[in-house]
Amino acid sequence: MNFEMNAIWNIKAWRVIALIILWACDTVEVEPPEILDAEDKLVMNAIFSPASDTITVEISMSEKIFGIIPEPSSNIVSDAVVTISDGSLTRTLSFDDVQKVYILPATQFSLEKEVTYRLELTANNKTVYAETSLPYKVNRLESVELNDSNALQISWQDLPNEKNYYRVYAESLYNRREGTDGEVYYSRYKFFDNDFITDAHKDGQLLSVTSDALDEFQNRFDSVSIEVYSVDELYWDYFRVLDLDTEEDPFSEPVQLPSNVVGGIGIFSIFQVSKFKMKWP
Amino acid sequence: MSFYDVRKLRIVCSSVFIFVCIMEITPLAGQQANYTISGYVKEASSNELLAGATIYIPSLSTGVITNNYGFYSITLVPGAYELVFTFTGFEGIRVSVDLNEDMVLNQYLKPSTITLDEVVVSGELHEKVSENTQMSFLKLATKTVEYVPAFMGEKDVLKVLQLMPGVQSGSEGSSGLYVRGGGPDQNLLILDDAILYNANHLFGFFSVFNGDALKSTELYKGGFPARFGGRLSSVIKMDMKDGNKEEVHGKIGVGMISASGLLEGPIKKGKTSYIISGRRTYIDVLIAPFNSSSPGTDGYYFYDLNAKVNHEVDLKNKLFVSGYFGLDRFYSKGSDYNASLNWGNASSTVRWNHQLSNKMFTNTSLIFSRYLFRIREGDDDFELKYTSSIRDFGAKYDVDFFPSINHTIKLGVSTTSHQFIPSALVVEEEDDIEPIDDEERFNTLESAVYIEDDMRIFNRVHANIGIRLSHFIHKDKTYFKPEPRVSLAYLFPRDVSVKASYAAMNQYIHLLSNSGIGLPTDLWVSSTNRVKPQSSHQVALGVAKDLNRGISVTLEGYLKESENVIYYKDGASFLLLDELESSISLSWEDNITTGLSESYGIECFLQKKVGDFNGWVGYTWSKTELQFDEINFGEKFLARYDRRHDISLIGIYTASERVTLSGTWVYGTGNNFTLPVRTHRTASDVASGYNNPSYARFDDVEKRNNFRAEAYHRLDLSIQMTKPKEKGKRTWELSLYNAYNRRNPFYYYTTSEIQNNTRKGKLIKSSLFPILPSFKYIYEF
Repeated sequence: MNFEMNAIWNIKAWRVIALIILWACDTVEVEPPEILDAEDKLVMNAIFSPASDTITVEISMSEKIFGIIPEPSSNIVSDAVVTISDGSLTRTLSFDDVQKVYILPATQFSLEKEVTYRLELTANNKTVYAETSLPYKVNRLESVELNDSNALQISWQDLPNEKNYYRVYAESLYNRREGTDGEVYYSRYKFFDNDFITDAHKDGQLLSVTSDALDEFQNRFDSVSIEVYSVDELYWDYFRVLDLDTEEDPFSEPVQLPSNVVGGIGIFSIFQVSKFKMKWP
Repeated sequence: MSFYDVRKLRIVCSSVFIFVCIMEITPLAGQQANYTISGYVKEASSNELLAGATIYIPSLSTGVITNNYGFYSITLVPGAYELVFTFTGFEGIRVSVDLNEDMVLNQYLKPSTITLDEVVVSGELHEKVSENTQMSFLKLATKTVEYVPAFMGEKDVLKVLQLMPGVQSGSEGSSGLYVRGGGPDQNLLILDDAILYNANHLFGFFSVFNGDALKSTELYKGGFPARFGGRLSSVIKMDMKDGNKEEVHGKIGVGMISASGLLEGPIKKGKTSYIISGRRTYIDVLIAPFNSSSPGTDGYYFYDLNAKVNHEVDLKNKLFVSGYFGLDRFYSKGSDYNASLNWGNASSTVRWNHQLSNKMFTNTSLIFSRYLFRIREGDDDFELKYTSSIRDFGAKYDVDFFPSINHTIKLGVSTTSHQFIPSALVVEEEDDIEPIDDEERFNTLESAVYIEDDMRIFNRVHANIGIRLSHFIHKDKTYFKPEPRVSLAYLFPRDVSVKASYAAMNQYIHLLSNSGIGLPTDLWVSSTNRVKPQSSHQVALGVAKDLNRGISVTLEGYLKESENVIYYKDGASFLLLDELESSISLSWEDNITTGLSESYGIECFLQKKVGDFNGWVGYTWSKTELQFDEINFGEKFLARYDRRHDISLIGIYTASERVTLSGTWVYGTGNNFTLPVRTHRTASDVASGYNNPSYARFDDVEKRNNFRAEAYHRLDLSIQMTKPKEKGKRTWELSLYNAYNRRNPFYYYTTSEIQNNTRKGKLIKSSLFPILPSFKYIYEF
């Protein structure tokens, strides 16, 4: 909640009236109509990057909202046939009993730019699939500097004429100390929040992220490690929806989770990550 | 001038050319020596001017309607004529004139009384819908509002309008109007020429319009005359009483939640009068026992205050000054703490009527209107002020020209400067923290010129043809939109007419609201270079028939298509305006999306206006679908308040001079809600560098508004018992809301419980108001 809503909620009369209205509300369980008794669907979740060691896919079945369902649910599907293909090469993933996911070592299937990949699964007499390709990768940072407010600012060039979505992670280690066990320990300073940056209204321009002012810390760092993630629009949309956390806000619009799984639910997305280690500016 | 401007100019020129051609081929007065009858139609006892009264000439099968200020003018060839003066809720008068010179004929109508003999009332002594060119139009008699049963006894014009076909209520108890598929923000609410922006008190359970102070209420659902514009779905025009010019009258009302009072009378008899009317709730007293802190320190109330003075300068000049002020206030006070939440409208209008001749009447209005929402919170070392508002300064000049019995021409120009403050936040703290003073403020200018002619083209063909040119400036962005309007009526014998209309409308200011229950946090915003004006095209076709005994029946079908309709994006909320994509500075524009709306339906309205038993039956079949690229994956979906069937039955029975019984029964197909159909595991947010939590589950909403609630129906009853007193009369009113205690759905939600290693998912229906009795005591003198 922001400032204004806190203030609204602090007014007791508002709460009293709201409580009286809620108190006046009479609730009763009703029989859900047939339209809400939708069929179960296969759920395929697969997110990895060319830098990942493995291609990992989780397969599960959706569950009904209404009626009686055993708990804890055991909806992971372990007997599916899962394949990944680039149009010419097709590989089958195998189920890992420990992690409860389907796995293919990255060495057996390379991920390249401008190739469309298809992930397909067959289970319970149903076949579903999804397709995706690699997003733009940031290979170079334009600048890493301290601005006038003594905040760390990292800039890079956006690729024009397409929607791009980024995340920047940056950390510096400081306070080096040796433990009694002989190990070397550091404190870790993380510069940015876990937010997405889009090129909306800034297509093709120089994009940047800026940290909070570093008054207390700036002299403690020797270097900064930076990771720039690029994701596709579906990835951005998918986690934006999950981040909205609308259950706490009774006045928010309902949300629908996007999916690119044809015949099922879920997400198949490949992201790019570029890692840089820079001398502290 | 751009290509598009040239094209628009051509359209305008063509329209004006067609208009002039029609004027030329129509038989105009002046081809023969003509004389003019002009004057005012007034209420007999108070001298109140009656706007919208009909003056019908049976021998010519035509007539005119008094303008906004009760003025009329008829120009005819010399001869003997019979004129019939009628007005809803009043007894009609038949007058014979021998026209051989210009004459002034003021008429005084009396309110209908219970002794009115229905047999006498047959014939032309009441208004006939078949004779009016205007379709999709309703006029509410003030008496009707007084008699229809009201929620908690609070008489509410908007809730009576909800009982009309084509007009729907939103959720339980709400005074919001959904007219032909449009939202509450698409209604133009005009009180004495001033636009009111927020029609709600207390979450929309009550409207801001105090029925005691109103003289007339008109609703246009389609076929909009060119003099109205700025909203897509309806025009609700309300005029305050002018005040009794002859004697002092008053009214006091005490109900379950509020008390009201009205005083009116002459300042200078026959020349100048005043009226003042107010209402205040005492909910703050009622909720005092619920306060945990010391009594009287926390509370809520709302009040309305209407005032008007009118002065007749001379026979040709009149001056009106009127104002409205209303406020809702939640407050909380402590020894070192103070907080309040206030919102309300204020409006005032100064109008000058000038009769240029017996055929031409002008009005000049200066208008102020403001809606303000403000939060204040503070203690010894902290103070917060949050404000959002819209403020208008406007001017309007209207001319009514009556060149002949076949033409009533209205033309005018208006301009309004809007000042928007979507949000202004001031935070001051005593510590060293820097104070926040963050205000977003901008101005826009909305202007229009219009011309319309209500004409008789041939003997049986009546038309109202007009055009409105609307113009809007926001910073360096300018919108210019021509809005053609056409209404046609063909009069068959035996009081039957077939009507058709087309209206193009544009709306330059929008309401951001997703609560649907009329919260004060709903935000008015402007069209910008990114947010285009909403626009609509509506066609309607209908039949009207007047039967004996003041009974009329209308059947209308309509199709309305709107574009650039605004809607919050998935998951957006007024709580999230600053938080959706925190890496980019967001404004409200980033939180909305625009799309299409399509509504169509059939409305049937059977009304009995006179006699000791009157009322109406309304039935609507309708469908409203929306389509937004960014909502519901771009697929069409039914609007939340899409209602396939809507029925209203209203009966008012005057059993005797002292007892009036009334009842309403409403039925509506259930509203649409969005509910999940399955739940599933989600992926982990791995592309971040952070150790992110896995999102374990998500309830899958397959489609927007996928669940139709059970039907809504409700019976309200009321009895009014009146007794004459020495200096007036008193009335006790007893009402029963939801008489058979129907548990109507207010909202639905899902929940689950785990027992013995099984989870049971449930659908829960929540209902709001059970059977609610109420009373009201009224004393009039």
